[in-house]
Amino acid sequence: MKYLLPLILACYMACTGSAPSNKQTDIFSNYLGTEFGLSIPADMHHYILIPKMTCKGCVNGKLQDELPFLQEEVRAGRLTLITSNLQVLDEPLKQKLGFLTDTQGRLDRLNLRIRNMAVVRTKDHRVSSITSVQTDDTTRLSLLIK
Amino acid sequence: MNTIAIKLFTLTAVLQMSLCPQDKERLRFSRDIAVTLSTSKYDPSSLGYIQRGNTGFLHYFNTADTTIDLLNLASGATEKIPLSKMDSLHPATMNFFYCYLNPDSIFCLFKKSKTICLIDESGEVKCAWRVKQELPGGISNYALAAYWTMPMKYHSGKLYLMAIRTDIVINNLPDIRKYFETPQSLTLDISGEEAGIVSLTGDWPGLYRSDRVYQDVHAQRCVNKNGEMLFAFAVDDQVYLYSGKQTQTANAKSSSFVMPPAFPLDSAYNFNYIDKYLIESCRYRSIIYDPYRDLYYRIAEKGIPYESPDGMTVRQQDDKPFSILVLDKDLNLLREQPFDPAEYLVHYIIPIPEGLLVSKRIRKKHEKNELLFSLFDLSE
Repeated sequence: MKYLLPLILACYMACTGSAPSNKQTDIFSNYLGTEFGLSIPADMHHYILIPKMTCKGCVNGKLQDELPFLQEEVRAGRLTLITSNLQVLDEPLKQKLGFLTDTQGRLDRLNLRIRNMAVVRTKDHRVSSITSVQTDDTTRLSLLIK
Repeated sequence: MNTIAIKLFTLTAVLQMSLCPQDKERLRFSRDIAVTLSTSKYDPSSLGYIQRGNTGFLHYFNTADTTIDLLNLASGATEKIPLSKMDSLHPATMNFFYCYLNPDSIFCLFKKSKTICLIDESGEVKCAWRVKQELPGGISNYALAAYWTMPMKYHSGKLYLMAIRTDIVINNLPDIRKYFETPQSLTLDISGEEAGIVSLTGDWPGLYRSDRVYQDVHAQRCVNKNGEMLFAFAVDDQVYLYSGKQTQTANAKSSSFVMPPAFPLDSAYNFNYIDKYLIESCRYRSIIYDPYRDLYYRIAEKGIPYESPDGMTVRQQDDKPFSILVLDKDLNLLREQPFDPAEYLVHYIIPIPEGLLVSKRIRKKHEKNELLFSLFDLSE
């Protein structure tokens, strides 16, 4: 009898096919929806997030270093760049990468540990990982996105 | 009988209120003042107030036009001071600081160049100084600045600036020791053709020189009408008045201040941790001199939990409750007045002849160049 309820719940979840809830997914999908009218796609997708609290030189340098790769990812619809701090970005980068701009700064309030810069990987409508890129991080963006 | 009792109670209450030191220099709400700046592209740290005759102006660095803009608070009109005539010396950038003294005298500083210009309201360069001297102690690697906690000021032929060592990265103990052994407030004598260093003052308190850091790298300083400097620091309850060679120390502790833990050095590059640490820590934000009333205001922020109760969002700087501590010219603490962050913003606290302006949240959707202030009256 004591196994009945968990069993029913497991069967229900398996039948409906819905993925178990995940706080990061909840926060990020809610943000994408309310701020930009977007939803997390089924195919693997990456988001580069640049909040207000960021190191200008570090972020511009990282984007500039791999600009052709990032442009190709954006063109292919596999990468979206979001910022609440458009002023911090160099003009050529803004033009070549096309950022979604969060004018209300809601990005800065998300409890996702995304200060400085973060790469969010999504798949099957869920957040699968969030990599926080700090100022001393030498990892190339292409390694985080591939 | 009841009437007599009520009258006695009222009289006692009034007497207590008039004698209570807490009510001296009380900040009484007077009215709200809405202003619209000429652009949303301005340097927020440059915003200040000047008085010309009977007219008050807000001044700020317009980064879009590279001008200093003066907003007439009575008429709403904007005057512009062009900065292009200084281009041959140094083009103005975001790292540009100025001190508006009067229409004939606006001191301009270009960070890292060690060049100071004196211009007038037409933007004409009247004089320029290049600081060539080493800092006391033979330190040659330093930059001039005027951070908002330590703005550029002028008094009797002397210019008060900030000197920041550029030979140090504050992520290791030997460099931390060096950094906090070096005061930051630089006084220059500009009465002659050469700018000469008069002093480098504002020693970091002992707790900053004990191999611990608190994410505080900029001292706070204001200059009073006698040219004396009052120093304060983000996690120190004391304030320090430098008058010549004497230093007067006074306790200016906020009732809600709790000493934060030291910041772990291994998180020096982790912006996520830095943000959390700063939100959760009590901090003294700045010290401001009121030349119209000969008072000092110390701004204290209270630490709050980083995560909101539902865990979906995190708090920001603007969510921290803050208070204004009012100190008289002898550094006696007259009052501490708390401000609700749901209504007020700590961004701008500006003394003007009519009282104290405190920036306020705008409820409706608004542009970035729209600002709202509450004016608080401090008259007896």
